[in-house]
Amino acid sequence: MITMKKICFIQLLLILTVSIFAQSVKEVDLNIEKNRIHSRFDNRNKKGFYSIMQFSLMMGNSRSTERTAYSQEYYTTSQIAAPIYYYPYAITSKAVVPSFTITNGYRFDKHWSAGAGVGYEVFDYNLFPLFAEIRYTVWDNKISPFMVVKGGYSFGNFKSKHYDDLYLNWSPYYLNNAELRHYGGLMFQPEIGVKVPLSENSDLLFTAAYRFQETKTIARKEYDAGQFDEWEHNEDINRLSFGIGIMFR
Amino acid sequence: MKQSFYLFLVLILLGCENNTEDIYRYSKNISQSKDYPVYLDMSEIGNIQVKTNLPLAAPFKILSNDKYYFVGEMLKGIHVYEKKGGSVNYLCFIECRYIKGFELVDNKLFCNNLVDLVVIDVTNPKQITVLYRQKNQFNKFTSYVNYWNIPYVEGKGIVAGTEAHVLTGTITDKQPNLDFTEYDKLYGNLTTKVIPDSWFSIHPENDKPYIGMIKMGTDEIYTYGSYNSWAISTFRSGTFGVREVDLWATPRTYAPPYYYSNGYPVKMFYQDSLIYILGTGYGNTGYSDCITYNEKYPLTYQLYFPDFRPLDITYMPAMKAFIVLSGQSVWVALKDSGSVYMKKYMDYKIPTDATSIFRIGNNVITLGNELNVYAPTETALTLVKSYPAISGRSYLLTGNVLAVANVQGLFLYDISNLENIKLIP
Repeated sequence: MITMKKICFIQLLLILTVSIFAQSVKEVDLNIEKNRIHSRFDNRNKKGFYSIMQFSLMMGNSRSTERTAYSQEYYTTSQIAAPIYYYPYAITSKAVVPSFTITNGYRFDKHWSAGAGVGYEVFDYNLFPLFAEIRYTVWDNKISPFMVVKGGYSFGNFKSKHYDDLYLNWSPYYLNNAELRHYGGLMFQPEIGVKVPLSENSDLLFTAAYRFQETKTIARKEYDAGQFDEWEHNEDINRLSFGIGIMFR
Repeated sequence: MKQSFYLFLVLILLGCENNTEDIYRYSKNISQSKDYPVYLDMSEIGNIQVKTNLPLAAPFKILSNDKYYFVGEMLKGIHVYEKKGGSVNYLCFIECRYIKGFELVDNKLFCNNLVDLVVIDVTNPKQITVLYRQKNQFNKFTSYVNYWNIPYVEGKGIVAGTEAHVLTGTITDKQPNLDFTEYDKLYGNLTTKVIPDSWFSIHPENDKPYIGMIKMGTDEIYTYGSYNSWAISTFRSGTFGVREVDLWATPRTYAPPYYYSNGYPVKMFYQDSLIYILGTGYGNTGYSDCITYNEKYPLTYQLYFPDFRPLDITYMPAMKAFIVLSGQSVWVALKDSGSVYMKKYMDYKIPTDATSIFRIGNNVITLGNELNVYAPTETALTLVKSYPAISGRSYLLTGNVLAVANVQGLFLYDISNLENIKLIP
């Protein structure tokens, strides 16, 4: 289900990103008298608001615990089913996580800008990052490298969800009649990239970033008289992210 | 350059792993049980007093001084008989509960009172005085024989049992156990005056505490030490003293007892300049260590019986052999001249239910439901004379007088002629 969601999400964002280029019209002012060709990019505003839509794929190794189930080879009686034994073991698998973010901010000069953004990311469950960023661009009016540092908090579910049968890839692996809630956690993302001016008001961004994301998930089973069992699963996720975005100014 | 970049990228990707941590929390209402030791209140057990009379039921040892005979009654106390002319009169009973061994030094009785060693002045047996009590003296085994001890807590005493108390409450991951503080205050000092029935069987000599007591020299009482050692007690000039003597102590006299980890001692006595320790092993096995005086090196003759537990033993110097009662028969163990082990064990195949055996001259005497006089050789045990009228469970041989105790009382016999043993009226 999560994989399907990721695939659809990636395809949709690729189409949207490509269609952005369709809007890009490069305007050139020819000044024949002085025998010079002026790009409009030379007259870009050095200050002002900006908005970035960015799509990224975050890649890395996802480590989880699984268990094997097998039946006992012999039966003690013909009526009683043999017990099933589980042996948990750790597995590592490649994981690709799509991320879509929108950032709005202000350019203080041709180099420095700052903003805040929100996003939607599909890890094993959905996360909604809310973050602030500081951005440094080397050159404003031509192809230029830039650096960004993003930091904030990713939100998970805002309330618990009840499951009659809850399967987990961490201990206790299975619960019946239990509640589950994903809490999200702190995020941090240093990023480098290349900015390609598309027009006077837009730039195409190619980025590479390291992403650190904390997550917390709690499965809880409640009983009478305030009794409960609660399993907390904390995960520090490390990912390498590659993205493409467009900046409007 | 490109290849290096891709390699760098792959390495970063491989390094991008998840770190996980799982925490389990809970809150549960549970009932937990805690066993609290119940300590033995020694106020009644330790009360040593004189009573007028008590029937003889299980006499296990007879001692005498110039005025009295003292007959030990297993687990109960000591019967005192006064010597009058050649005969004896019952005088009184000194109650000393859970007694299993005693010795006499002049007018002072050394005996066990369960696990304590007490010294009693019996100058006038009707008005005794407890001179000293050495607490837990017979319950201090260490090393491989810790299990010989009855559970004991210093300052609180013997643990006679446990009492379980259940507490109901809420436990969490932060406090996984219920708080028994209040219960600890309430039940931390439980006491009882009753010893569990299971502690003593119909053969109390096999049960804890393991008591062995012999008088050596003029006033030294040898008992089992903490481990492979003697505990030597004295009461001199109103002062009690006890010291441990082990294998390495000098000057050497008698080797210390050896504590078998798969056995335990049942009986200890001193006879013919030998210290005998009879013991029980696993199953129906038994042993007898016969410790002899030797100043140069420790010397103990070790007898092992794979099929029975020895009841009594005596040494025949002329034969260089030990004669042993198995409970069903009489065995002979012939000494090997070159070692401490026996060169030959042999069953004389003399059916007997005797419980005591001893030597008079070159004759062997067995005592049980009857008294028998035998003439032993290396190959046979010949009956010389049988006395069906003489029976007893313990004896004391002093010169030509044999004191025998049975349920009817204490009887003295003239044994100057073994073919004509007479009751001294």
